[in-house]
Amino acid sequence: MRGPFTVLAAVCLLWPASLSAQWQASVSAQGSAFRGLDSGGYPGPGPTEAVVVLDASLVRQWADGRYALRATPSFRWDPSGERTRVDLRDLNLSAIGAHWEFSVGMKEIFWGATESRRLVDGVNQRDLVGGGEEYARMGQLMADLTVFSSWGTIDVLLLPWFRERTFDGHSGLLWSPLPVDADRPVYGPGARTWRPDWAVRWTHTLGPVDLGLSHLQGTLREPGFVETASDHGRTILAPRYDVGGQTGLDLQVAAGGLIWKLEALIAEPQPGRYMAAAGGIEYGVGDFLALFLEYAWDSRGREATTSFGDDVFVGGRLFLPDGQVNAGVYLDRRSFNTALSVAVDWRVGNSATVGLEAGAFLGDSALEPPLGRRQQTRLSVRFTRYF
Amino acid sequence: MSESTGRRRRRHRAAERGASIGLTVLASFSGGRAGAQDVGREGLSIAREVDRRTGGYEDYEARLTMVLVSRDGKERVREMEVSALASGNGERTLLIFQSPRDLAGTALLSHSQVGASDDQWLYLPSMKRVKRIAAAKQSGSFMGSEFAYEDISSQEVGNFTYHYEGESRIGDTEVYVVERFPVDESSGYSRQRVYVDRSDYLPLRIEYFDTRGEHLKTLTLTEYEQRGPYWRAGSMTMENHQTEAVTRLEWSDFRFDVGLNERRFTADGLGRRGR
Repeated sequence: MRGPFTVLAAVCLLWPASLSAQWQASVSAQGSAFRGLDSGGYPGPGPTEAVVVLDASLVRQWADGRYALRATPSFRWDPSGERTRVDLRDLNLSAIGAHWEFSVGMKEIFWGATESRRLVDGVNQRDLVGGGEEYARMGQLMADLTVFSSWGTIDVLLLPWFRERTFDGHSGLLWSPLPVDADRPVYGPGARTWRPDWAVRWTHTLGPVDLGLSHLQGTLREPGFVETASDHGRTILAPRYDVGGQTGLDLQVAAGGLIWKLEALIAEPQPGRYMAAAGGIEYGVGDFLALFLEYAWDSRGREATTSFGDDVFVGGRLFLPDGQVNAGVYLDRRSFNTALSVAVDWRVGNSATVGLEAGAFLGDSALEPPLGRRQQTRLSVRFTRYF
Repeated sequence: MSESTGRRRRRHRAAERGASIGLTVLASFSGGRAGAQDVGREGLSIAREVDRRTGGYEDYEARLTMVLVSRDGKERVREMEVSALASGNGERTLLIFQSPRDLAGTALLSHSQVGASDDQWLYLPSMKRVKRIAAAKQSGSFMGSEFAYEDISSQEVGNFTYHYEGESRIGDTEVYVVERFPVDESSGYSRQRVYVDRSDYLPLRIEYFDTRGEHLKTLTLTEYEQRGPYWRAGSMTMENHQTEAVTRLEWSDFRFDVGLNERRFTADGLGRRGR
């Protein structure tokens, strides 16, 4: 972790004096409580978690906007030490032409369309937080060439460095009682940290339609799991990373007050191949309420690494003058297992927010895929101050 | 774009459409059907004079402070950067929030086209995610304010028919009074009464009447400033007589025809902005 620190310190020192208008930062403190879990005799995380997160974003453009430097450092401090992490979600330099853009460095990008699942978003490794499909992303080292034209935008990404997924605390728990040991990853044939992975993406907007097609070739970010023995002779799950290709489609279509959304993914790690899709509608009620209805599917069934492989998702987002309320329910079509979540964000003054988030799982956990992310009954309180 | 193309486009657009978000209330007279009656022709010619002074640019950038005052006097302040670009026979506008701070960097992109529903996208900086959102109804509130989308979004050819009502006074200022009637049946208004300064053809007040004919809102335009060939009201106050809530828009740092890049106004470009 010293590497990013050093680079960040250098950036801060060399940052030009005109910094003032171009930075923003926030500090956030969060406490969470989880309902008692059956850890199956394995040592698991305690019933509470606390974390302090510092985020900053700095942008500088020069030469009339032809060059840009962007830095988004992120620091997370966990009093228990387990989840403390420093990351550079962005530290990249861009050259911007009339019909192209080239950037190199650490970068965070988002691909996707649906509310219930994030299938296509496969370039940045995930840093799991909260419940449901929530996650933050870690910076990805890349060289990214973008070409703009009347038939759409093409991105070509060279991704030389692979990062492993985090499995810390409660958000890293699977339905299986076996703990995941992220420090003992298994790499399949050809998979390794430094490897010339690549990705391409084409996006186009035509009136009411946003379409994206993407392909990534290299070490897939989504791990499988293998049972292995820990140093103490206990059985644990080790993340397994494999080389392969994954092809994604994301689509948004506006029609008569509705937005139709679709994400579809074909992933071909070696060995194995699976497909997943999610799609549905968003309906806007005035400009203060959005309602979602989606269905999420995964071809792996019980072997899926998600809890939402055959689920209906119903959700809503309510915009208020001083805040926002998000609520969602995943309902498994066969087992009727239910994962609920409600999040309220309330603005205090002009530069602070208070957040309250609750999640609940109702149903029989034995019917959930063992390698899917565990949905928990939990309550979190968060205070964020913005600068 | 070559200068001659630009001039052609400008002329074309000035004839075809009004100006833009937040500003169209000033310039929304462009076009319109002249009725057979003289009062219709007179109303239209005043509308054209207004448009000549306030419309016809290629693009602009400005800072906007929106103050929402509730009935009990509580104020909420939203600060944003606004930019807009003429595009075909429509307009593309981009709002980037600066405050409240938890919304800083959040951006709203709208594409409006004559005869088609708007396309809108939201950029969420925490996820670096661009989301298409369902375009709001024309009569719906613009970001919780007393302005409806149709009050501030770009307006279309033939959006109104006009009726010249005569002369009047606002304080010491002599004004023309013109009534205009929305052509679009989805409008939230039955008519609007516009008061135009006789000396310089700048609108000073617009009264909005709901579909039942009740006086719903009054817009007051003050602090006019000239930027190049264009006149702009620096302050717009919309008072809702039925809810007693008030929204104030305070504009500053107007820059016209700065040559904004079209890519900035695309859904894809929204996710690539330097912030």
